[in-house]
Amino acid sequence: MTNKTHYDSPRLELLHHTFNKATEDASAAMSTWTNGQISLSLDELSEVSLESVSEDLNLGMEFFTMVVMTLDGEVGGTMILTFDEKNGRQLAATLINREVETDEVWSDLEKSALNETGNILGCAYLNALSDLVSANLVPSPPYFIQDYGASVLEQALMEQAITEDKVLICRTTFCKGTEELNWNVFFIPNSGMRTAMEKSQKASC
Amino acid sequence: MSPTESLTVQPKMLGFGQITIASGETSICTILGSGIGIAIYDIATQIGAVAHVVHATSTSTKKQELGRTADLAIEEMVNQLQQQGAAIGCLQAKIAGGSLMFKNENKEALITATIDEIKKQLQIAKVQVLGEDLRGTQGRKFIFNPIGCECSVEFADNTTRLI
Repeated sequence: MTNKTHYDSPRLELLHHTFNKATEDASAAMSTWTNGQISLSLDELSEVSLESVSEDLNLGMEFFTMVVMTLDGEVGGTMILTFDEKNGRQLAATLINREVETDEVWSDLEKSALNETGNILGCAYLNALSDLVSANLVPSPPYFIQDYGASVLEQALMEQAITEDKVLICRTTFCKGTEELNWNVFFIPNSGMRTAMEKSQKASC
Repeated sequence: MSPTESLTVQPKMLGFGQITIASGETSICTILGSGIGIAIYDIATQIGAVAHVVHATSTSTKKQELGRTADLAIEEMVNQLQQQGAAIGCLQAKIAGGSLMFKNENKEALITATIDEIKKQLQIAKVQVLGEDLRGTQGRKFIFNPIGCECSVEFADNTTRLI
């Protein structure tokens, strides 16, 4: 597990601490949801150019199963939970206590299991961010999407792309015991959230 | 077999907010979500320019890639095509993208503004739009093949549409 703790920018170093707290809360919620099987670890907080972001995050032409939750409003953002087909179905099967489905089309029950996972993770994550920026952040219901990862990422990045040269992205990895799973959570703050987080970090220094 | 699978030369990938010139056997491919892929080409010389535009207009004073916004991208594409020897009075275009991948009213409005600005800028540049595949809720793989100046979109469910 790579837990990137060395940053070129002191600002990113500070933001890492913020996201670490949110990740710990989400990890505790995920562990409860999966009977202690799955935990989370903050992998990387990065500022990357819009032009290369999907390549840098390995979301280029790949097809993913995703659960998306949004925080609408001036201080907001988007959380994207990504799985490849195999891992997504394995998680769903574990949660609903059934054999892994072989039908090409996902059943409503499988979708619901992943949506609930997104909901639990997202709420824990966003509660921690709400405390940090002293704002009442209300997430949308989870959306189940199967599509190109880059297509979903692009919409999440729209607001940052208006004003920023580089986009800020937080990537979290899942672990089953010591095994790193091919699942990720990306949190993409909007410009208002970026500003609020930076202000909050400065105030606490 | 999909258009990308049938290509003998691997397509060149284009990132968000970028512009590139396309000629010869190398196709250009970009993955679209809410953004819009624009291909402007001269069918006689089979030279094209492809952009992946993300917004309608540039509001930042910071240095940005010219391909990010419709107000700057189309002028830049036409300039680059002119430098490559394309006949400016005969340019044609095809556009695709602008999906709302997940529900959000603000972003829907931004997408609409981008589509409107692209059409306005193409009209100003006297570029005729010959095909479009816009909106919806699915991601698209937008492919421009300079040979024949063909444009297609592929969806994640493997359906393909020539535009």
